[in-house]
Amino acid sequence: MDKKIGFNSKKISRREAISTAGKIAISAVVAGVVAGVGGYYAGSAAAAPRTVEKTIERTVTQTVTAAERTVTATVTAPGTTMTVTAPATTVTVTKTVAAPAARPYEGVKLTVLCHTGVQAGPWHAYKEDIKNLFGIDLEVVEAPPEELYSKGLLGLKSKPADYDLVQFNSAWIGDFEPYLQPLDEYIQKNDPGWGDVLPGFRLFRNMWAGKIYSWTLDGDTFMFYYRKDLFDHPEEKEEFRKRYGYELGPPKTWDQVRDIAEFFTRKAGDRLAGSKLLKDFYGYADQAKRGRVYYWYLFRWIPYRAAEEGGIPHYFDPNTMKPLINTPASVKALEAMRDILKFSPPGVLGFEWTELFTAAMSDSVVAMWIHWPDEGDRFQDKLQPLPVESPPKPQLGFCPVPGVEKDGKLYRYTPVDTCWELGIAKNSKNPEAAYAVLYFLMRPDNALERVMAPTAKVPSSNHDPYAYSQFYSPRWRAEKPWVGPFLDAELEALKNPYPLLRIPGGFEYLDALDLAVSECLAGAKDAKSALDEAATKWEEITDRLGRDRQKEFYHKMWMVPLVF
Amino acid sequence: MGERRTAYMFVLPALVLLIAAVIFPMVFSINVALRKYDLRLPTEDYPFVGIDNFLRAARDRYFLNSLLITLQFVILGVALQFPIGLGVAVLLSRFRWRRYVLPAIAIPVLTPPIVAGYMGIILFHPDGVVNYFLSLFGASKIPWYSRPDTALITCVLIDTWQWYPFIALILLAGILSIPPEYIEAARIDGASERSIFRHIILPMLRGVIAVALIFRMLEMLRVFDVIYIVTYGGPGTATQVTNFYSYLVGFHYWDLGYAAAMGWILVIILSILVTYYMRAFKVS
Repeated sequence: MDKKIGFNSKKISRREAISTAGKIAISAVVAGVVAGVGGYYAGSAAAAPRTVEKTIERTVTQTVTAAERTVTATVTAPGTTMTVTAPATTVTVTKTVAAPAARPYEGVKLTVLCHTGVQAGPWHAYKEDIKNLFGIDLEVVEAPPEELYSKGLLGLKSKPADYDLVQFNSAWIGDFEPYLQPLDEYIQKNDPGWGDVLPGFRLFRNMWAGKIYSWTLDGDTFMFYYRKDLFDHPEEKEEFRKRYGYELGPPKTWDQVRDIAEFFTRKAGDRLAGSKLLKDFYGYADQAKRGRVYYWYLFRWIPYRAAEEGGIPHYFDPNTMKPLINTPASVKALEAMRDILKFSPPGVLGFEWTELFTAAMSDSVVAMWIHWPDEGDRFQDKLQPLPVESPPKPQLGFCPVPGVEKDGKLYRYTPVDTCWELGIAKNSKNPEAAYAVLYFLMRPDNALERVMAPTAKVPSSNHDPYAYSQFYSPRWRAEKPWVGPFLDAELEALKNPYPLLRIPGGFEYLDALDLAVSECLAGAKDAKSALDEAATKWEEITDRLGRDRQKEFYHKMWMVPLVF
Repeated sequence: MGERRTAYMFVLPALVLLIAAVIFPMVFSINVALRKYDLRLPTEDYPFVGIDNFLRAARDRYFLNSLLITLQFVILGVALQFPIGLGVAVLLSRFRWRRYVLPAIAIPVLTPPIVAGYMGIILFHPDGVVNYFLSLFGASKIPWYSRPDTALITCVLIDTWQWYPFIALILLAGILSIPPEYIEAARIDGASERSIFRHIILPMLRGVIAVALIFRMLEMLRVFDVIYIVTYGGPGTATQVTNFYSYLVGFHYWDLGYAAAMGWILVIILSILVTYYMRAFKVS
């Protein structure tokens, strides 16, 4: 238990100290009154001693207006006593409490393996604080993402583990599970805010077979973006209603996306938003380069398959592990994806993150696209005006990824990306100390700094929000007033989360799908034969890695209370 | 005996380095190639499977396709880079101020391949420099590296931009090392410049050409960077060369045994080709 104090101990400012003392005093008074100690009748009453977990460095004197009665309470802090007296209308707290407790892990050395570059920013930013608070010497080992798997896995397998803390992709959990420390018991003792994490991240990323194996570092998901300045233009709204018979607005279905994409695809010299277009303009764009185009297919596959199944769709038949990526609805989803390419910029098959961002945000030649939250929570103010002679003020719109409507029901999900997590090595020599570091980094105040980065404290992170306290943060919303509506939209979108594949071989499965999608979009194969071939490849992978074992992992992936 | 021991002592550091850096990794990779060495399997004792990984490669459509694409890449690359390099070398050999031009010509070679890849994206972007010049002749925008029929040639062009100076420099060194007496004697005998080039310079460059082509061919057979940056093997499998495919298998699928087997197959093919080249050019 002595180490528990360590988690919460920190040097605090005079203002914080006064505030803390005030809170303690008020709590003591309230406790005294509520306990009915009878201060009023007996002249004085002593409340039950109470353990204080905050360590205050200075003598604090604070007068707080309180009830009309005098209450005296005694508060016990480690090694000292604090007396709270409440005469007629004031509460006076006067006490010098103990100096900071000894740093609980003095001399302990921990190693963390993390993603190189900006993702490593928070570790460097907090390294000194971790030393000051806990006495832990933290060695930060950075690795590029493609090395994190092998380094992480081999490092975790070592005895003792090479790394006490590991940043890993949630897709690797099947492989990492035997070497990771379940966090349930730690969280039960000292919880940095498990309930604060959105269910989509908690259930589909941090949990595995019903246990907690990690804490989200980066809340990656996907949002649908559109040019609000264009969608709100009265001339465009009127014209769209005439042509399609319904109101122009953020699309709810993929059919609507197609209509709107067709509507806004225009040539230089045409009219757009009430004035002359200076460049060719396109209705919609995907990040369609080979490598990650499978995401953009899954954005369609999930709702098409959901409509086909009448509920949350499966990647595999859970009983036989037969792939379900080449069903009629899957083929239809791929055909729809290829169809919409007609309304995309030339070269869209070569679009990766930068190309899509540039076309949509910098060149402003795309009306709609789907991307990670970066545009919304970091770069919204980077949106350039439309390429027309008299552009309206640039405005970015956002909504959940569209769905598919069937029999009057809308099937619409937001994919929760497999992304960066923090876990503790089972073979760590100091799991308690490692958890102290995890706790510190995930504490709401520090977590907010990470997702808000760049801030004065954390210059870089590329971490996206994942907890309610971040989405509702008054500070974030005050410092970047444009971020509020986006955070609201993302929160709304994440009410219907859908997990990406997280079983061993996940990347190989998805890469086979990626190849099929890429071949189809490139015109090398039709949708059916491309997906049939991907399904065959999935079967091969399953057999190679062991069908029963894969089935077990697939069940573990879904074994979360929300779904079953 | 003392002298012999001293001699061994001198050789020892090089021997240790050779064993550590070359022989051990080679032996280890053969060992890996003969096992089901898959990091995703819940074992640390990866079973010996003999030549299964090699047989798997022989049945793997993507691997066979990647060999074909690699071959296309090499043939197209050599077909472009050799004449350009040779032409530039001949021009430079006659250019008095070449010492001032050479550093500028060598710049692409000094560029890291990753940077060359990004340069290629800028050059061949639909709104890039190449399309701009083509548009002056009325051509419409070509999405060079994102169309299956132009993606491979785009990668070859980027590779050519980076590496033709290498061939040019080697051949230039070869041309300059030809004794001028041969050429002067031919001129006195009335030989035309074309004849001199065909019957004196080219034959005397045979060894140098072989070295330049072998170097380039080996480099091109193990092309990776430009593909990784520009196309990531796509669209579809249009540019999925063997090295890129084995990278995916090894470092994304973590099937290291199979990736090692593919590597060894490539090594065997390379050895055969190099031997053939050496014989064809009569290089000893």
